[in-house]
Amino acid sequence: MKELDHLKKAWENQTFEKQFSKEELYSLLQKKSARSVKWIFYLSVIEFALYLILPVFLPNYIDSFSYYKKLHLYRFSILTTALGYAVLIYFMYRFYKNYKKISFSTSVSSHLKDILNARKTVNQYFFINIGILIVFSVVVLMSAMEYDESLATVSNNGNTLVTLIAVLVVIVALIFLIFGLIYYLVYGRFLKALKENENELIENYSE
Amino acid sequence: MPEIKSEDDFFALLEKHQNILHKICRIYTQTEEEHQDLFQEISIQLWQSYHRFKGKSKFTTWMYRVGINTAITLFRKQKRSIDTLSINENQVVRYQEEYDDEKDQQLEWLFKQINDFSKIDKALVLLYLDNKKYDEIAETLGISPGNARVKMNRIKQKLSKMLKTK
Repeated sequence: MKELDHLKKAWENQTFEKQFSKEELYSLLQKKSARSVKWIFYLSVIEFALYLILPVFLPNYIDSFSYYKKLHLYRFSILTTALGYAVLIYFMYRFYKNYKKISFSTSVSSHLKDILNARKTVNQYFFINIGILIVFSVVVLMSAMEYDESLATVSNNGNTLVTLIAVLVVIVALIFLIFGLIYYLVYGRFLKALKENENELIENYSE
Repeated sequence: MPEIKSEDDFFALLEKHQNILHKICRIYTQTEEEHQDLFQEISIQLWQSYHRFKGKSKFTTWMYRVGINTAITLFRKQKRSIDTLSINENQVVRYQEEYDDEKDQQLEWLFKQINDFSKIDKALVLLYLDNKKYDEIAETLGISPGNARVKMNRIKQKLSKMLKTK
């Protein structure tokens, strides 16, 4: 038992060189969120770069526009593509603003408010992107049924039409699932740290 | 938007009692880097659950509880790849070199011994060495005081057996 007491004494007397001040403790909390938000911004830049080089790696990318032309959707496809880029540029700017804000927020409460906003921005980005994608896919498929001869004959048959609509629903669900999963995997891990803060905040405000 | 309550109080208390976190980190980590990571993780967890802290238990008991829970459930040591292995080993050595006199050697011995302990046993060692009473241990670990006593006696025996064969 004497040895145990010695051990306790040694434990009691241990010192820790690194002692944090209040300000350092605050910046510890800040750093982690800033890191997540910074990565969200970087990811959007990477995503933008990927969109830009996409036509180079997908040889059919340009050809697909002539198909849309056949479906009387040429203008629509150009517009949605432009809209996609505009949305991305707009959100890149928002992500950058969030990052700057979080890095320089002055108190924990305003810092948490910024985190809440950052999370909201990513969610908006996700739903707007998925929205554009789904609207685009549905419009293309509907036009294809009307103007694409191979599909148009099928859609005249009642039974096949039901099947086709079912296929359409499945395709939309798949788009949502696949892109949802990609965004969840890519952005989700950086949102994890922020998500809990948001829940805490909501709970706090409702008290 | 209302202010988050008393953030100043929180940071003042955290600053004052930070050694509790340092002790938890020392028990659960092996390198300075892991120590800092866990310290940061616990601080974040404490801050996030601070508004739920109603003062029913002592602030320090609550710190132990959140700290130990974080160390047990959330904190994963960084995976060692071949590239980083040598760096990490150097860090372990440097971390241990800090203990130079006799008492520190005793601590160094302790940390080596408990390295293979389960996460729960490490928590018990920490609470035992910090002279915590059974009811506080029970509250911290979420077990009954009777169970706390049984577990504490077991860990005490384990430690003293190790000390005898030292």
